[in-house]
Order: sequence, then structure tokens, then C-alpha cells
Amino acid sequence: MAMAVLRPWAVVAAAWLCTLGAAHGACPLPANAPVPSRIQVGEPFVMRLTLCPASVKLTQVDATMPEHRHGMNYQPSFTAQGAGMWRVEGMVWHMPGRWELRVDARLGQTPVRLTPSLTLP
Amino acid sequence: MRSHALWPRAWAWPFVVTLCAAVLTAFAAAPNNPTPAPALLDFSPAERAQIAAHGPWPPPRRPDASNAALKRPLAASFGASLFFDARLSANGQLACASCHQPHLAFQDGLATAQGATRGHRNTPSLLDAAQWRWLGWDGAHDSLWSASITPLLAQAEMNQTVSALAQLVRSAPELAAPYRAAFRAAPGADDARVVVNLGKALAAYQSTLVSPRTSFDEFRDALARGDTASAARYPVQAQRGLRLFLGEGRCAVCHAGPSFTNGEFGDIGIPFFVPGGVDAGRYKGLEKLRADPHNRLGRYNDAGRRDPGAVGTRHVNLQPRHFGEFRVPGLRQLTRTAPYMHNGSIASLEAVVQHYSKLPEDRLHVDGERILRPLNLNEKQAADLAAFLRSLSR
Repeated sequence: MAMAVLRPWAVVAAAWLCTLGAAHGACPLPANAPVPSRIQVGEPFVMRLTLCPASVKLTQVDATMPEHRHGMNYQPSFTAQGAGMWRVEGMVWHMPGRWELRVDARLGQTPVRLTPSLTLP
Repeated sequence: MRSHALWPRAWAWPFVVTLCAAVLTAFAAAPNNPTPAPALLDFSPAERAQIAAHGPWPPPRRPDASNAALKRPLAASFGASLFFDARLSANGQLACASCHQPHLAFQDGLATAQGATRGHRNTPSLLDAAQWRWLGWDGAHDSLWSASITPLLAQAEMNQTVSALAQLVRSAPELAAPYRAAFRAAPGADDARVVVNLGKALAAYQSTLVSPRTSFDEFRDALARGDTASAARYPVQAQRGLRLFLGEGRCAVCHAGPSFTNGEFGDIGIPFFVPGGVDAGRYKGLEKLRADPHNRLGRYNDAGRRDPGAVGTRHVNLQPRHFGEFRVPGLRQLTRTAPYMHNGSIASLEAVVQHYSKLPEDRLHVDGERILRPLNLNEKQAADLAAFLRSLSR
């Protein structure tokens, strides 16, 4: 069975290097991945996602602060860059603390949601 | 152009020197010096990192590609003259500086603004305005230049019309000449374009208004470079207040970064009822932003679609919880900007601290910020927190 995998981030420019894992265990999702220092409270940043296999379709990206009971004040947009890569714009984390990223994708007819948590200092 | 300095006027210096000499003499004569010995609290590495994040100050000016005039000194000087020019108002009696008064940190000291009519919001200081992504208590503007146009035209403020403003600039040589110098073209027949350029010149001037460094900045920098002797000169009471601000008080969750604001919006239990209705705050502000022809997605953006600053406007999301939210203000020069809150309803810094100490939880949004809760400060803690907040002013 094909597997939806989020490969390590490969972006350097104005973005965030992070390792996301698989939905089904091949690449375990880090419980609390390190937050790149480029992300600053209240400042927009760009994410680049790599989905594997490349046929996985990204459907939505969002982030919430579960302890605060709210999400972002922005709705990110994303564009396919080819070869499973996606550019996500419009991300703003406006408070320090734990953010739960929500990456929704579709592998064929199967929906996949990844929810890594990251703590912004 | 130089940043606006907040020093005593030249005529006041002899008095200042005399006063300082008197104070020094009094201390020298006192048998027991009441000044507490310098001391430095045992800030943890995590606290030191948090403190470092509130600087350095001043920060580099935030670039704004939507306003090409920012790169032209002649536009800033033209904007400075416009800022003090009452002819920009319909009755010829109100200038921008009537409400944004330089000696009051560019606000007016009133609870609510007094333009052509009485407003229902507090006049914000313009210091550091060039750092902000959203302007106005409701964030209805996404650039300093668009925020500068609205007061010119608002009925409750300067009550002008686009055509009257454009005609004024075209007909008055003392305005037309600096306009031509700033924008490399004479004011043309397109009234809307002329008024947009007035806003851009006003923004070029306001972008030079920067808060001065404070005792907190000296402390923060000393701590960052490991100079504990210098850091210990920062009053211990302010250090305790800072620790409270960062930790138990969780104030830095919203009042983040060098400007002490995350640039977003919140509901902290200040009533939003106004005569005849409610002030919907951010909710209405976002509706206004989207309808505004002067926003960053419009045709007056000098960078067009290449403006990186437009990312916020393009992605900002109108949500029900924005109703009654207002911009998180920066905390620099606080002692000069009373009264406080979006409606100017709190008169003093001490009263602001008490507001957070006794936060009315039943007034907060049911879907709002869960971490807001009364701080229940004792008298000493409240005094410490106020001492820290005062140290953000000079």
C-alpha cells in the first residue's frame, strides 16, 4: 500500500526546517519538533512541505493553540511546486507557546491528517 | 531626517541641571543613603532568553515596499509640514498634530479623540507606528499611508473631501512645490492619486517617530552581553516586575518582542459598548480593510503584487471571535500615553495593573483567549509590575 509521508523540510529561504513523519508509522512523527529560529512571534513565515509519494494531494493547512483555545488569525494558502513539494504562505503564529500544526492531505480516497506539535519560545 | 527626540526643551536645561544638583546634594547629606544597593535577580537562562527577545532597541526600520516615498527624504520633510498644517481639515482648524501632539508622545491625553466631533476611541500614540502590520485599534489599515488618509476624510475627524484636498495642493504653491519635489511630478488631475501621495508623505514623516531607549533597554543589552554590573543598576523592583511580566503574569504572550506587542488583537474585558451601539473592534476593522481601495491589494500599492507586506492582507481571516477585539498596543513610552485602553477608560498605569489583577472573566468571550485569568496580585506585586512598566518609558 502506498504511504503518505512527509519528508524532512528542504527549504532554506524564509522558511522552516523541520522533520515531519508518516501517517502510518514509517517515519515516526516527532512529539515536539524543534522550531527553527527564523519563526518569530507575530511575523509571517513560509513553509515548504514535501509529501511522499508525490501523488498525495494537500487539502488544507492550519495551526491551533489547544491550550489557548484558538488558532491563527490567518488562513494559509498553498501551491504545488512539483515532485510532492508544496509552498505554504500566510502562516503567522502570534503567541509563544505550543502550536499544533494541522496538515490535511488525501492519498487517493484516503484522508490523512498530521498534527505535529511545536513550541514557539 | 532625525528621529523625534523626547528631551526637555533647551530653555528647560538650566532647571534640570539645578534640580539634579539639588537631588545629588540631598543624597550626599543624608546619613543613610536610601538608594538600594545594585543587585541582579537570578534570572534563569530561559528568562534571559525571554528578556533578550524584547530588544534590541531601536529595531531596524520595517521596510514597506508599498510606499516608495519612504526612500525619499524630501517626502518625509513634506510630510512633516503636512502633519502640522490645519488647512488639511475642512474647517481649517485641525491638523494631524491637533490630536497627535508631539509633547504627548503623539497622542492627545484625552480619553477619546476630539476631531470635528467627539470620537469613541482613544487616540493612539504614533511612536513606532512604522513597526506595525495593522494600524488603528481595529486594524482597519494595513499600511501607515492608508491609515493616514482615513482621518483626513472621516467626518468625525478632519472631514475633508478628496477633491478639496487635491485642489488645495494644486493651488497652493507652498504645497505644490514640495509635492513636486517629493513625487517628481506636479500634482495631477487625478484627485485620488494626489490624496494617496499626501498619505504617503505623511507616512514618510511618521516613520521617523521612534521611541527613545529606556532604562529597560540598557538592562536588556547589559544582560545580553554578560555585563552583570551594568545590569544590576536596573532597579530591583523593576526586575521583580519584569519577572512577573514574563512568568506568572504571562503578559509577554501578547506583549511580545521589542515593541512589546505581537501586533494582533485581543479581548481583555474592556467594555465595547458606545453611545447608540457597540464598537465591534477587529471584526468591523477587517470588513473595512477589505473594502478599502487603499489597502495593499489595491492599485495604489507602489510594489503591486510583489509587495511582501501584502501577505497578511491576503491571508487574514475574519472570525466571529474578532468581535470586540482590539489591537494589542505596544508598551513603550507608556507613562506619556495615559489614559489607556481602546476607549481611554483607565486613567493610570496602576489602574491598568489592577484591571489585570481583577480581570472580569465573565466579560470575556466564551470562545476567547483561555489563558486570560485574574492575576490576583498583592500590593507589592502590583507595585513591582507598575515599576517595570514605567521603566519602558523615558
